Amino acid sequence: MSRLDDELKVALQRKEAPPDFTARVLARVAELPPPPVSRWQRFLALFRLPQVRFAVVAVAACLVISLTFGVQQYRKYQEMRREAEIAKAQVMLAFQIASAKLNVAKQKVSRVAEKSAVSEAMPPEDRVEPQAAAKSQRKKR
Amino acid sequence: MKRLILPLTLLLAALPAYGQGFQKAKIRIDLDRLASKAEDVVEVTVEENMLRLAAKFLKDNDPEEAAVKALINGLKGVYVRAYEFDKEGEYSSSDVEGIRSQLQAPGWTKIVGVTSRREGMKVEVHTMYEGEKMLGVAIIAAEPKELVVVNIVGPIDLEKLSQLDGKLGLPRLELRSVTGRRAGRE
Repeated sequence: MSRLDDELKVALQRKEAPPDFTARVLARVAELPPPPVSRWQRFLALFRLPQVRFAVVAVAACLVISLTFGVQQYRKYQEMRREAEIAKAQVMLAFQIASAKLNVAKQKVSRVAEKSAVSEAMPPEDRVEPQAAAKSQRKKR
Repeated sequence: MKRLILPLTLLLAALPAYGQGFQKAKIRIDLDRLASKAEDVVEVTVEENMLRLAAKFLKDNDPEEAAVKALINGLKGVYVRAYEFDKEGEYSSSDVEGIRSQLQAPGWTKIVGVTSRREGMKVEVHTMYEGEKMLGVAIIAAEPKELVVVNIVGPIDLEKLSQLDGKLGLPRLELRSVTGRRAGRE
């Protein structure tokens, strides 16, 4: 038994690594091919660059500002359009009323003009002056 | 450049005065007290900036809207007060006298005056001109149950305006003439 113990002690005795052990291991690691990188990993690697990060943040900021400005401008346009539609309806109503009244006046004037034309077209002996008509009316009564 | 300074200065000084000529054709329509007595009221006040805005949204391919757009061109303001009453005697001639007195000021000319005692109706059309430039028009139509005052500031073609009657399909005031027919499209 003691012989086995001695052999085990010798076999399991701590041994120092040779001086060039680390160098040899690193050299063998360097010789190994790099692990394969997917396209997606290569794409994501771009964002680790500070210039790309800055550009992405700038573009995002521009998009947010443009979107906010665009929404604001659209709302302003909608408001302006609503006001314009109201003004348009008011103007059309005003013109409708004005034209109706103008035509009432025109019709009356036309009627008077027609009566005058008819009266002038009658032979002089058939024309009745207002005062003569009143006299004849009184005589008939 | 020095030669342009004086004419430019004179031009800039004259610009504010340009609009003032048209303002002479704006009359004060003070009939708000009639609104409480009227069954139907139409009050329209459209200033120059709103007229320009409305003109932008009037369609050129619609004949009625194109006609209105052509009429709006150059106008400075459109003002209408129309009151329809349930019964006669709700307004008096003194209510209208304040407006008529303004139309007797220098510059105004009554081009049409129609009175019908049988129908109890009186329609007057007044215009204001400065030389050959029309500054505005005022129409007063007084009937027993209806009073309408229209003031259009700016140059307007009255013939083309009268041709619009019955062509503008709008939600309308139930204005009735003395014969009982409704105004607007039949």
